[in-house]
Amino acid sequence: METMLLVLQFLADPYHLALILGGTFVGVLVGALPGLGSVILIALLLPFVVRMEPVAGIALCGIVYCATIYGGSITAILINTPGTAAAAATTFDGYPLAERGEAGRALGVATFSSAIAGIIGILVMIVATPLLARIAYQFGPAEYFALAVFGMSMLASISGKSVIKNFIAGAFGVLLATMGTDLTTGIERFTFGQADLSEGIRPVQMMIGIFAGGELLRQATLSGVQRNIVADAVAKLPSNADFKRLWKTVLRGSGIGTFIGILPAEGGTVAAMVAYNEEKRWSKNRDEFGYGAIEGVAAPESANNAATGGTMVPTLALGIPGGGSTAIILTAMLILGLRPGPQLFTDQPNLLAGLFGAMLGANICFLVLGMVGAKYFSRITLIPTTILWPMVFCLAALGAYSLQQNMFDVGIMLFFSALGYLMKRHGYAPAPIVMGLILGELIESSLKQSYLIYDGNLFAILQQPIALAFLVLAVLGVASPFIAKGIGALREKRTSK
Amino acid sequence: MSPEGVGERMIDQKSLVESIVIMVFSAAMYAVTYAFDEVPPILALCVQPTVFPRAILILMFLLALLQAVKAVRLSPADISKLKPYKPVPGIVYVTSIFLIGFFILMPIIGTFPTLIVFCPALAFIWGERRWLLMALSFSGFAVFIYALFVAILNTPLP
Repeated sequence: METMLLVLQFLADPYHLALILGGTFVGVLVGALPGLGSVILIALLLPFVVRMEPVAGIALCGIVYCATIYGGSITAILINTPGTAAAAATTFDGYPLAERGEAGRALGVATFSSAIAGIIGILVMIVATPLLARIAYQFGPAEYFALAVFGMSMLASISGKSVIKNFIAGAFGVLLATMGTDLTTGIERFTFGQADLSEGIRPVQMMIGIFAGGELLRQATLSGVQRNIVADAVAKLPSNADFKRLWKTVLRGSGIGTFIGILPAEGGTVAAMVAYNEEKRWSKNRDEFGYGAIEGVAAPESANNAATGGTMVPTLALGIPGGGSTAIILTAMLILGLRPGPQLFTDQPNLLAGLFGAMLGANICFLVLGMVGAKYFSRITLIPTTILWPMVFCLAALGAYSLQQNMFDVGIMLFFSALGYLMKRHGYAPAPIVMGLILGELIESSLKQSYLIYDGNLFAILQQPIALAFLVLAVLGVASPFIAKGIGALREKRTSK
Repeated sequence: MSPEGVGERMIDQKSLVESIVIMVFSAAMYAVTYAFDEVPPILALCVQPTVFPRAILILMFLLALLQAVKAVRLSPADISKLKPYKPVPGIVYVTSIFLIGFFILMPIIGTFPTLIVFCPALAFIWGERRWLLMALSFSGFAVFIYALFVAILNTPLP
């Protein structure tokens, strides 16, 4: 009840309302632009967010996170190009609907499904986050170590081409976390004599480089791509028949999205794909899927938007990012001196209420903006890559510079731009590096503390029930893709017999 | 560097080279850890600062080794998924040179002159020829940057 009052108090402030309106507008606009997305936008905003008042800064991250995920659906439907990876599944049926003249219906269903599921996800977040955080009161170093290992184990199923590559990228992120002065001993590690590296790799510059800079180099090869809007439609309110047909789909998608979002390292992209496949499996109209089934729009859109609330749950309660975007939001929180966990709920109730209120407000705001302006938002894709990306780079470089007014930071950003491009080209997803960078410090410090507490006997970690449970889940998380592969092969053998 | 046949076995050379690069990197970084200062055990709380990075590097090396083994023992299903290797397009190298140029020029000639030179030049090499569009867009962008960083954030730019 107290939280709800704080949420209302946040929403009653005109400055916060302006932030919601502006953030949602920019978020939907950027979400509609293929290549840019929530991760890049939040990374670009980081240099500004860390200078803002903490409640407003973190709220802004939450707003643009919700709005960009929705914005991706507009171009997925109108130009067959998902604005964000999370909207990839929306193209399967959204674009065929647009091609046969039902773009307005598809946009309307996408907007309503996104907003309803987004609100459900946030309500779950409001209830589940404090509950999960309360469990964290029982956590000691052993439990935190096991939890961080569990978070890393989820890299097995994060987006990317190979489980091994995800783990290599994750390990590289953990290695980056060890750079700089070791806080226990004061010894410098991997600084190569550079004083600027003594505080370690600066996460903001690294994230801007790996996401925005890496994408710029990839866009260099796509500058000749022409995009055409197949349909110039205004979003239409879903009919009663559509509501009746889709309410179960939206609820299922919301459930799947919220659950997958809560799992560390997973996010909207995985949620949307799973929801689409499940809807196809259970639908009476499964033959229509791929040719313009309206359920094929509602399911992924409800799942990826519900996941935004879900991914915030482990991020806020335990400090384990639920996905790429939340990893960056977590970084912003840490820079602002806000440590996630149970203390956050007692020390910073305004911050959490602000974030909840901002995300709720963003969902309501994009419902209105989407219904009125989807047609106009899609026009953003007509901005030539040749004009847009040089500006994105300059904004990224100046953002990286502005934090400490240091050209070395721009150099770091450039280094990670090249690395981000090469990694993506070779099938290494950049998100695991960020996960590793964030969890690396927690893994090392909790492992050292456990070593001291248990007198050098690390096997004692296995005697702690919660830690053991997380480690078992971690083993299952690593093994799950191989088990799924084995089951698939077994099924194939059976059917061929 | 397309998949290469060795008798009936196939090798994914690209993946093999990647693995070797990662193994060499891990080994080199492992060697770097020998340059870390040693601290007395009482100060290190029994855990030297080299222990954790070395453990991670060994893990990276083993993962890369696993990938290398996979690259030389391809299943028929893996072989069908392999795509021919395409070299990094020339435009990526040229763009990278421009980015380095931005980095060098910014502290020498200043932020705004660099913006004025860099943005149209990069757009030009990416194939943009609409000069009026470029002039309007990039001058508007320079004003936006001035307003955001100098007027609002009070950030001293070079």
